Amino acid sequence: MSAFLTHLRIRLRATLGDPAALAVMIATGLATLILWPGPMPATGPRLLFGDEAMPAGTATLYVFMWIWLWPAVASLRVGGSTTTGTASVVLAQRGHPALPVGPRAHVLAEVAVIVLFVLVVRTALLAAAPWLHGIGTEFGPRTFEGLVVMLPALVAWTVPGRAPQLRFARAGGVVVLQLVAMRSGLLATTALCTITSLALVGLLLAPFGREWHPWRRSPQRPRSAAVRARRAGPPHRQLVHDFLVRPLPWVAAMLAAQIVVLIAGSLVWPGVRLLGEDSPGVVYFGTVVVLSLALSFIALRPMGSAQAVAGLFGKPNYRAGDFLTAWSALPVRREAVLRGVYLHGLVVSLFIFALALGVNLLVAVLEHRAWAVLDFDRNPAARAFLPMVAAVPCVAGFVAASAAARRDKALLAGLALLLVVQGHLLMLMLGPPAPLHAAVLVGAAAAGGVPVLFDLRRATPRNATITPT
Amino acid sequence: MPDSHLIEVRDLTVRRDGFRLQVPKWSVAPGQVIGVVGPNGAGKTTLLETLAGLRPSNSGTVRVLGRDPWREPEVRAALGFMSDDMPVFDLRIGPLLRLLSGYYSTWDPALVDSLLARFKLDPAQKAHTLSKGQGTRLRLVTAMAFQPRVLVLDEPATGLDLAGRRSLLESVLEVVRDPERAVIVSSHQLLDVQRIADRLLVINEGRVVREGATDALVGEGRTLEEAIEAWGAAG
Repeated sequence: MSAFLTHLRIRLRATLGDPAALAVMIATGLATLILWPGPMPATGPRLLFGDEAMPAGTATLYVFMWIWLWPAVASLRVGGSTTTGTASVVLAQRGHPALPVGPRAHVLAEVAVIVLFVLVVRTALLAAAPWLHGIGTEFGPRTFEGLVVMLPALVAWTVPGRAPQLRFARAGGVVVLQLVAMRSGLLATTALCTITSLALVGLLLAPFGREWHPWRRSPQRPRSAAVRARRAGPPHRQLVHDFLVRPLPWVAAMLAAQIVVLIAGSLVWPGVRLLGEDSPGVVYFGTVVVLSLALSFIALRPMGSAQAVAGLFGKPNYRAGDFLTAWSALPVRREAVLRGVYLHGLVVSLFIFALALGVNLLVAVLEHRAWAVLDFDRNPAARAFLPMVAAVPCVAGFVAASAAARRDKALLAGLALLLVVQGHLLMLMLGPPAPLHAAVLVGAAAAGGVPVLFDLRRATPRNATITPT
Repeated sequence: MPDSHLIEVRDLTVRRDGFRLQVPKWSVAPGQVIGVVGPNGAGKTTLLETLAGLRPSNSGTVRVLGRDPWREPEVRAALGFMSDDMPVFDLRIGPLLRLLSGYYSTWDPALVDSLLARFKLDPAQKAHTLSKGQGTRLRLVTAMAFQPRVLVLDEPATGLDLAGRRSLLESVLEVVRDPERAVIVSSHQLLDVQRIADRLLVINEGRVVREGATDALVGEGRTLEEAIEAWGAAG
């Protein structure tokens, strides 16, 4: 108990003493006013959009996405940065893991800090503006119910993992279990919510005894069998194969994942049928999630390695230009490698996009019995999704500029990518003239994909000879 | 250039950041181990990187197997290069070696297995989790796995423990059992260099101080370290 209180005091003081952390925590507390879950019937939560109730499936999607993601920012901030301060390290480790605090006390103390902030911010808001809709008399019970529902995800995000991805997966897994619990009626009342959440928290904390070390790796696996070689070919043909053909199985796996997500979504939420009135929303979200994953894990990882991009942004163990230098001992030209990286970004992201489009098209055809993918009235997801093809050259430009250690061009491509994704959605809401909308997207695509082309030109003439001076 | 020479350098000048390396005339014959020695900043790495085609020369001629390595990087299909700080692909060792095997028609899977065993590397391990010494061992494996006719090693003993250095020396000597191949090794481990090098190239401040057969240059009863001190090339 004393370790818990000690760590609670230390983390609380550290958060209060850091203006950035304080701002994040206040913002996180304020965000509870946007969406704050509570007990839910088996049919799903009720969510109002203006004065109208959202379809049950869409509301479930929103609420559980929120339960998954809301605690992330707060828990990572309260956990504190490590000395290197990069995202992956913050996600994978915690600072000073050797403190005399057991892992469970560590986690619970940090969760308690977040809970305190939520209580303080919501109380302060109630005091300042008691007339705000949704607070008033229900404030106390609603705050408690929300914290109870959020608790498992909060703990899941706060437990450190040996790999950054583990936190996302662990929190995602907990939310899926909560979803199943909801469908089984186990989140229907405050008492049931409390029991379910405590059970999930116990499940999460059970493996973390005092002997658990967040930074120690598992024992090495036994040595595997002999390394297989592959058939050698002309280096430039191998280069094309490695950059363009090698990622395709992963792209296909992403497609399969997307289909599974869509079908599983339709099975989990009876209110959302794959071909029903809610399907555009599910298709859109599924597409965006799968596209984001595919772009992150395939298009931005030529040769299956994060090296090309990671080095430019200070990831530990990586240096800018390492990816290109790693090729230097091979019998291929530098610019040929860079062209391969660019083509990888271009072709793979285009392929991912085409696959996602194919699924979109399939749903539209099945739903409307017509090739309605371009009929934006009957297939609104396509309106949001199709113009994002402008992101393809931006992805190629970003990954090639990163591999070439051209930070300026990589940043330009990254900003262009952001403009395509965010700007497009913003324009969908604002509704500017179509030519202006198209011009912005084309301009962003050009700004992201063209500048790096100058780095792909041949630097050394083939079969030239040196003239002695 | 005589066909028998694997490497031929004539009137070479390489400039970088206010430093100038000059090598008037130098060649490497098959079946030899050449030790390139000199103090820090002497120009050893610059020379070896130029031989591997990783940096251009400002003037003069460099020929590796009769080709200019800077303008014809395809020659690296027969030239293995490793340097202690050279990045490697961020993959597991097994997939990394499989990837590289596609680029070399002379890749020898049996040799790879024996090198992995000799250097105690686990194919399942990720490259970026290796220690410095393990990283050096992996670079050595990648440079030797395709039986290059010319093996260029820049500080190959960095971070290696005693067993690793012994494995390195054994591997280098195995390479030159083939009379068609040669090894160029730069190192500050002077005792190791003296043990394996047939010839020496001593560089100081960008200039060649001595070049010739190791025994003749060092002389009877002297160590290479003492000889380098005597030549004023100890740094």
